[in-house]
Amino acid sequence: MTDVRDQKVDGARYDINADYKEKANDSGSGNENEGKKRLKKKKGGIFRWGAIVPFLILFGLVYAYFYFFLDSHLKKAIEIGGYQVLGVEVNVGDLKTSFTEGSLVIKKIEITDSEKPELNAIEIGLIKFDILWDALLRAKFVVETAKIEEIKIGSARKKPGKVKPPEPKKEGPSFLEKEAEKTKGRLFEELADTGKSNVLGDIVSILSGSSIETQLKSIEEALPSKKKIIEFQNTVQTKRTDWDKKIKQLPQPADIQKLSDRLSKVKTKDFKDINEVQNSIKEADAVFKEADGHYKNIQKTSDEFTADLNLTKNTLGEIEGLIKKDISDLETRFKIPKIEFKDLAKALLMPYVQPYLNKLETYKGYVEKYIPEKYKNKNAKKEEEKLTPHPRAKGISYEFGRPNSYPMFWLKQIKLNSALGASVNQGEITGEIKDITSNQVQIKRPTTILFNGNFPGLEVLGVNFKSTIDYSIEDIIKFDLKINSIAISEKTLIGSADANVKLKKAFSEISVNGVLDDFKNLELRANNTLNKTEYEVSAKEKLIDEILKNSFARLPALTIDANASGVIPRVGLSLNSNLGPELGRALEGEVKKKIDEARKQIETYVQGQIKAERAKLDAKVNEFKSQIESEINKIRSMVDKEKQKAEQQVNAAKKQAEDSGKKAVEDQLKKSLGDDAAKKLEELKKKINF
Amino acid sequence: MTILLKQLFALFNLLNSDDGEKQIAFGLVLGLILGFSPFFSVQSFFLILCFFVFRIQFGAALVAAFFFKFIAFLIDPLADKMGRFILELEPLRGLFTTMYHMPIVPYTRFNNSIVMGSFFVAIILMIPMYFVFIALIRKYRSAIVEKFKSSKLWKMWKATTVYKLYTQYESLVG
Repeated sequence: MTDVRDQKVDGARYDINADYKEKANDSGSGNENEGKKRLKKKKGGIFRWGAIVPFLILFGLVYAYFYFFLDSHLKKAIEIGGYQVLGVEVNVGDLKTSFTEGSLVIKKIEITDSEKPELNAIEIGLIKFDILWDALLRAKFVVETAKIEEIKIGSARKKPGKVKPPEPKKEGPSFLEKEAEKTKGRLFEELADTGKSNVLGDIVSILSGSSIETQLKSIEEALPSKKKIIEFQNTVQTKRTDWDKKIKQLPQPADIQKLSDRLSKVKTKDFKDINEVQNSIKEADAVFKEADGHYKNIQKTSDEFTADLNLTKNTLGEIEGLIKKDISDLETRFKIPKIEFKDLAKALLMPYVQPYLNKLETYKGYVEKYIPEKYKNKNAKKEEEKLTPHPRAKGISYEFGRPNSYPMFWLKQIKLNSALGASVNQGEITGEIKDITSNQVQIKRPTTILFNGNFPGLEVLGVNFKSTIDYSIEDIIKFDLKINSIAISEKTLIGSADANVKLKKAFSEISVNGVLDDFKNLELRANNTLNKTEYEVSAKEKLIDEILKNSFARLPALTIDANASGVIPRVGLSLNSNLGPELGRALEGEVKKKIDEARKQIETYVQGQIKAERAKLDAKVNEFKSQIESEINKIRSMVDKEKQKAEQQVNAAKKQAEDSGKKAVEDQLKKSLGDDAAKKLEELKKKINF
Repeated sequence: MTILLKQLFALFNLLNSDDGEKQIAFGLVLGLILGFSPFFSVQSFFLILCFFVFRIQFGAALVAAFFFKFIAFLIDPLADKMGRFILELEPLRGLFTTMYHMPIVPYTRFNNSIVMGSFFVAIILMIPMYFVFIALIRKYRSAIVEKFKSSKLWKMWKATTVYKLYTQYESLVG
């Protein structure tokens, strides 16, 4: 510790021990001269020479790694990464990097076809990148020219490639998965439904003419509508009993008669005095109030009955709905198709189109998985033109661009060049991809892709692809693909137990063009014309066989046109073909006739099943309604009559009392006014308006 | 590994001696800068190269780098804000643009907000921390080392043959 004699300190060597002398004396082994020598400060120099050799060894090891192992590790990384990203085995034949030349050469990249693992989806013979050292010194990755050569499609593999099994479902979908699920639903919802339905099979079954009458007879279970009718009959019966009880609780004729008797005893004239008048009015009023109470009670009961009747009507409506549903269910059960002949081609051609849609779905999945976050959130759009921050795992990295400078990444040109070779899968391709960059604003150029090619061995001729990806001013991707001729053979157009239509041979002419605006608004048109077609048509039913054979024979060329439009991921897709109207014309009359017949049979069956019970129910409801209504109306009219009578008697008694009172006052005034009393009285009456 | 262990022991020895406090403090300050720098950057490489080549107290630098790496991680959000503020300063735009297009300089990753923020924090702390480290070393020596040296346990240890043999070995090997 403090006794360490010759302590090494960075930058100098000191004899720092103050106890040294003491220590030397204690041990008896030191001498004065040695002690003095040690006390002198010893300079160790600024360099740590001892560390130079290990550092050089470390440097040598790093160099050795780059020299001997980097290429093989990069090769392995591409193969493993490719498998993880694409989900299929990726093989790299050879990979070489050169530090001094700044180049990367990859030979024979094979990407397995996921559907046919014994073939390659694509094989590229050579990829060469020449990286610009000047840019690399500035931490920019700029490739002046890259070459892609010897492109083969569908070449055979030495051994079948691995295909990644689908990943197990995680607990609860992530946001992206939910979005992807939404997309699937929206994009293929309509088409998937049409694809699932075996329209042709349904047509065959209808045309086969097997009557459904016998099948209808074998239905043992009761129809839901019939069950409901029987159930409701019981309900109506119960209602009837309840209402009978309620009617009995209403004022009966005897009660009304009592009121009438009381009323007849009320005196309405010849009153002896005012008390008698008052008593008569009081009694008549009491009778009136009692009659009014009865009336209100009856009114309330009547209202309740009306409400109950409405409920009954609703239930009858439900029964009507159930009857319709029973008819519809039976139509489904006996496969009565709802055929829209304009959509017939869409349904029939789904097996042909589905693989292409599946591929689109897979590519869409890749895009969603690997698209940079800034393109997913288009709301934060280009706040600054020159200063472009890129969100990273940690912090934000700014690009301080200036004209004619290198962007972070810039692949200036990729030359595509492939000549016809010994393999039939090798294509003749020329083209170039220009200006793939991390900052188009800086280089002021969009990314362009252009190539032409032919694969005569695969009978693919006149491939022409043009695309522009521009996000410097407006975010827009335009693409245009034309293929003059692709040979198609042994392709199933319609495949079901009832009918098969196979394209034995055809030449397809394809044109696809579209625009993806703002990286989300997609407009796509795809036209596919199948020329020089040879079909193999067969169907179980003779009629269908004839119709299909005639329809396909009449088609000079089969066209399949697809249009996609919408905001990604909710893209609507429509599919049209000249096959639809052709088949429709041939099938419509026959099929419609059969379908209408079948529908009528079902309707007759259902109506026959429910007819008797329905009639019983209607009779019960009507009887219940009329009886209860007439009971209530009868009692109401009686009470109403007595009420009116009481009211009249009260009014009559009041009038009588009023008249008697007037007369008594007049007599008394006459007596007090003398002889001209009559005249004075008249004047007074006028004055007081008596 | 041997070099690293040797350096750590040397740091321990030096800490418990009466001298070399400035060297330790300097090493700790360089370690602070290393701790605040991203590992894969040209400045980290340069600092490590310096530790190897020059007589800097490597042990102190290593310990400080390890400690301040955690501190840097904790203040990342603050460093991010500071870095953004600095990188977006209009008067410095020209300087940053020039630096961005110079050879080698972009490998410092100065254009990253966290790197710039952390670097700024390290520069600000460098000089005050140098003096703080010196004060702490002095405090450590007076409060802990002296007490330990005057303890009976230490005196007993000094009297043992093993200790004497060790001191002789140390004087010979150095």
